[in-house]
Amino acid sequence: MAAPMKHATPVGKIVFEKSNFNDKKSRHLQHITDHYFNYSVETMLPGCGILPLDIQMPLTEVEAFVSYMVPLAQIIRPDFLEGFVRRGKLHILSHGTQIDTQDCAALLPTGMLILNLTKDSYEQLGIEGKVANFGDRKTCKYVIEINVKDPTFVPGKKLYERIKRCLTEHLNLKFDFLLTWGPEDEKVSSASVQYYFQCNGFVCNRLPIRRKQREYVDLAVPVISSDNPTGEAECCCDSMEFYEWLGACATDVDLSATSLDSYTSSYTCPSPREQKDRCVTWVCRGMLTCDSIIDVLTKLRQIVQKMDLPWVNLTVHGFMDSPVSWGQREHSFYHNGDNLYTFVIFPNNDYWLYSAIGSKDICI
Amino acid sequence: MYWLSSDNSDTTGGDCEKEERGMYEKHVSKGHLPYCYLKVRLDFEDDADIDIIIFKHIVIQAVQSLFGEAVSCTPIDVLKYRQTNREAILRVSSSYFTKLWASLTWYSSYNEQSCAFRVLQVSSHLMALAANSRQLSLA
Amino acid sequence: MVRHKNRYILCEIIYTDNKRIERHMTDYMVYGAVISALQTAHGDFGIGSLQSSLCVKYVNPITSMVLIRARRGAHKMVQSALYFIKKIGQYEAFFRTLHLGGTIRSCCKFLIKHHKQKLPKLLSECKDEEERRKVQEIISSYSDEYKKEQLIASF
Repeated sequence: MAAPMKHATPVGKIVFEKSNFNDKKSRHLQHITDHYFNYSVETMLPGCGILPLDIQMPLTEVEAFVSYMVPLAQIIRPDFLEGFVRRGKLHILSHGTQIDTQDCAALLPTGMLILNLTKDSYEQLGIEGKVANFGDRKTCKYVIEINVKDPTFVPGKKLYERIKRCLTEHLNLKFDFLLTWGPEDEKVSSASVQYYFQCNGFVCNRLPIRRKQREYVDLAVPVISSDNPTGEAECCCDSMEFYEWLGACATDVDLSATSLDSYTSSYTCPSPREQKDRCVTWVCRGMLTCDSIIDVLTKLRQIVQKMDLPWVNLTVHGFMDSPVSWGQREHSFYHNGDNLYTFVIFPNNDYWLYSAIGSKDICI
Repeated sequence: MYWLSSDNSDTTGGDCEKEERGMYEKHVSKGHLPYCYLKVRLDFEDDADIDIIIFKHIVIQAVQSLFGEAVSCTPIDVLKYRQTNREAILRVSSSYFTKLWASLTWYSSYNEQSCAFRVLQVSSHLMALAANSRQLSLA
Repeated sequence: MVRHKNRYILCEIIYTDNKRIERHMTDYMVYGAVISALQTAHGDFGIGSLQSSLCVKYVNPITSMVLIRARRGAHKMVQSALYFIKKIGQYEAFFRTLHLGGTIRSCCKFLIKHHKQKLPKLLSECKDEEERRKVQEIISSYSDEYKKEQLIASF
């Protein structure tokens, strides 16, 4: 029927927060560190012609690796647990497995090993878990959480032996893993995890980090005010319209040609707007760590004050097929597996934070 | 409570929760967001030269043939179009999103040339279409 | 078994030329007009969801009354498509919906009531004495019936 479908499931949710970096209760750091698996980082600097070099540094230094066909039992071997899991921040995420239909695994830096399994694999494996929050009867999935950092999770103990037996004898789960390791001891190189996998006979390569820079000339930029996110006063834009505009820039929508009477698109830059001579955006893709993103955020806060920019933005996209979104909150894929957040940083230390999440994810 | 705790069980209606405490403000919208965005690609069996005007015409035609004028009058925006691989980003009001998707699925030929729409990515945030982690290349 | 619920749309055909003459109107012509209007307004989906249930049950070329059956729920699509009809067969005409009922019986009841209400208007349009007498007779019988009903109701 012609009537719009009002009762269909919403495709996504959005959380908007406005706060100040100097607020003692501000949770911006926690928001970044809780989002363990980051795929892409994007920044936009309006009114800035050349990208300052030092904000690129933290992300390009990240060393991520990809290792192929690693059995899960390898990760809970005592030498690996002792050498890497307990001595730094290890992020491991299965690659190429789709969370809505296939088995997925992730190891968080907190030491939680999370397996998101299909019913078949779950029943073959025989480790106790619980039914996933998301998914209908057909695509029933199960979540197993094991704390491998627990001091009692060592060979000889009942739990360890049982899990080892399940992972080796019952079902030998193998994954392609993406991994990063941040050692506690600064003298140790983070590449030693690559060496470990190579010594054990696995292919382990460095994951390339892709960078892209785009420059705009004479771009119309919406005017926003940090105190007025609803755009009630006519001097600034609504925060949601502004977010859409940021998205349009990120997806490289041609904003110059579109006007209201155009046949193909009715989208225009929200008003009020101002013309900026030069703008620069920068994208970095790969597997990025939370610490490097915090570094970028700190640098951006300095830049926005030093260079007198109206605002800068920092967008972080998570992996669609990660079993967790923020913290240990379960994540799934329905229409999309969105888990991304955007900071808009103002010179007066105020910030706006947008968290965009898919329909099968828990609101924070 | 500083943070507003909420779960996703409630998905009906355009509910919006709001919390304010001095400097801090928080808005949660769990209902329908105003728009949905689709990243689509139009595949032809043989190569075809389709510019943005024709592409938009094809999209409207697809909706028109399945749901008629009653739905094809809704604004569908082609935000971005790349002629080399006929990939586009469409924007539609979220209440007509399902119908647009259905119409694209049913569309099968243009000028007696077989073709098909592939819906690559779907989101209610335009920002989300900027990256697709399923396309991460390892080499 | 689950009952198929239908809706019956009772319409009047109004000819644009406004001439009071008998015309050749068949159910097939009305069906054709409705189905093509449905195609433009609601597309393949509209046709598909109404194909099995859409049916022109009754056409009266003299009084130009039409009864169309459609599946309940989807009948709204038919209703909205009816507005866009400007031509039925070879005639320039459009529909005026009089009643929407759940059964043919309820539509029939409405139709009788509707015609009865139209009688006084016809009386004024009569040309000769013979016609006038006939119409008056019908009206008086109808009003007698009506009085009886009122009397029964008052007890």
